[in-house]
Amino acid sequence: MAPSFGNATLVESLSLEELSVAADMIAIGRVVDMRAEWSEEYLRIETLCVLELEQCIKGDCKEKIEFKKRGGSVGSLHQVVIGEPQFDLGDELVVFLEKLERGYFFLGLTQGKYRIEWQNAKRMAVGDAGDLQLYDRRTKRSFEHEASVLPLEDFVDLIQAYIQR
Amino acid sequence: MKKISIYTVLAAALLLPATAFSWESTMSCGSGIAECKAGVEPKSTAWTLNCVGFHLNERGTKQIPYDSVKQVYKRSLATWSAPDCSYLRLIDLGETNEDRVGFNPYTNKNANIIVFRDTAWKDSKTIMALTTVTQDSVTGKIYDADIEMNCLDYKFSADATGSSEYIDLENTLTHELGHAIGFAHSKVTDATMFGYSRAGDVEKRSLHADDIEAICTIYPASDTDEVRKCKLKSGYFHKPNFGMDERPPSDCGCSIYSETAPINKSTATFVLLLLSFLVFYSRKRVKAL
Repeated sequence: MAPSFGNATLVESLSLEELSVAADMIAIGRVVDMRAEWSEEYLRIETLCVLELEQCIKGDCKEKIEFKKRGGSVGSLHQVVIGEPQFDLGDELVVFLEKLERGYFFLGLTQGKYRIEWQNAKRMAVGDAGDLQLYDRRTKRSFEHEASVLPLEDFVDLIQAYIQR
Repeated sequence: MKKISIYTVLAAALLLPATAFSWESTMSCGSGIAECKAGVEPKSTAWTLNCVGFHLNERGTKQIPYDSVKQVYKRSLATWSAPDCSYLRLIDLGETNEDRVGFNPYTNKNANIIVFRDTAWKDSKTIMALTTVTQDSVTGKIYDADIEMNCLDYKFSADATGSSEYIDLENTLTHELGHAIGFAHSKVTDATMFGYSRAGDVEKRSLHADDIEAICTIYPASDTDEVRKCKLKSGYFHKPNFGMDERPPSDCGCSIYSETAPINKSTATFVLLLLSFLVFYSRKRVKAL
């Protein structure tokens, strides 16, 4: 099958299984700090984020996990890397991170972030895949990313099962 | 290159259901409080110039002969410049040996570059191409846009029609240039700005009615275009100076400018009011004398 790729900028489409296996760290937590700063000879802006750990699913998680996202605002300048996930201070997230030379980043950009929402008194993992859609060239149809909304417990079980395979 | 007239767009708009357009702009700042300053509403981002110039990195990629890369690059620029319902023109400003992307706020010698990474891709392997846009977080004015292609982990081709292995360069570059001029993803599956594609896909090479609607809405042609014809002063900086001792950019950080950029209406009104006041005040003083 031809590889599909997508979401902004241009990124390989990853299933939940692929995310689970490829991530260096998977964790659940709350965003407690976000700070944008210049990097690399004052050319790029990156936002340093801190996640207060609730549960470590994979990797060497610390109580406070530091990771980065490309882009952000410094002064009156805003740098955008299309496809980087959007979230805010206080948001509860499941993060799939990959380790690059300059720190941890979301794996597969937006695909590496699920936000936790309460729905009918249940905590749900919502893929921010949000409008992440896959496109089947043969049928010319797009379809929703798999597991875009799942009860958090089931979601974690699924990830663990994928990791142990 | 064949121009797409405004009548074509209007006809397409009439034939399509009202909800058929789905293009989106990128926004001046993120939706979260951490990115938009308090009280600042995100605005659509756009270049305030009528021409945007790009430089192709002189090394190209080992995957495709350089002449082919150049042709693809020029066709992609021409594709976004074609709709005559829009004043925006994307211009080839020649080659550069610069391969650093981003924006240095302390120099006015930033350039919009397109670079192929054959050996040193320092980002995620899952990313095939990356567009970085730097803009004003309040007004949405774009200062700089750079495109990087991951040729270390992916195979590009100048013509990947129907291939199950190769990614079509023109398909990709045309899509990324859409980001570089301020567009986010569309939900129209046949649009150039649709967020997903497959190896062998060449549909994004040409603009869909949705893409044309986008460029003609954000950069609409008007009668004043005669006044602001695309006049580029050669702003080609072969070796841009990213030194921190440079003065901050006065207006646009990019390497081109429009010599006859339209005067901002509010500025003009303010100048007129100031002149009227000065004339009135000097007459009063003359009378008093």
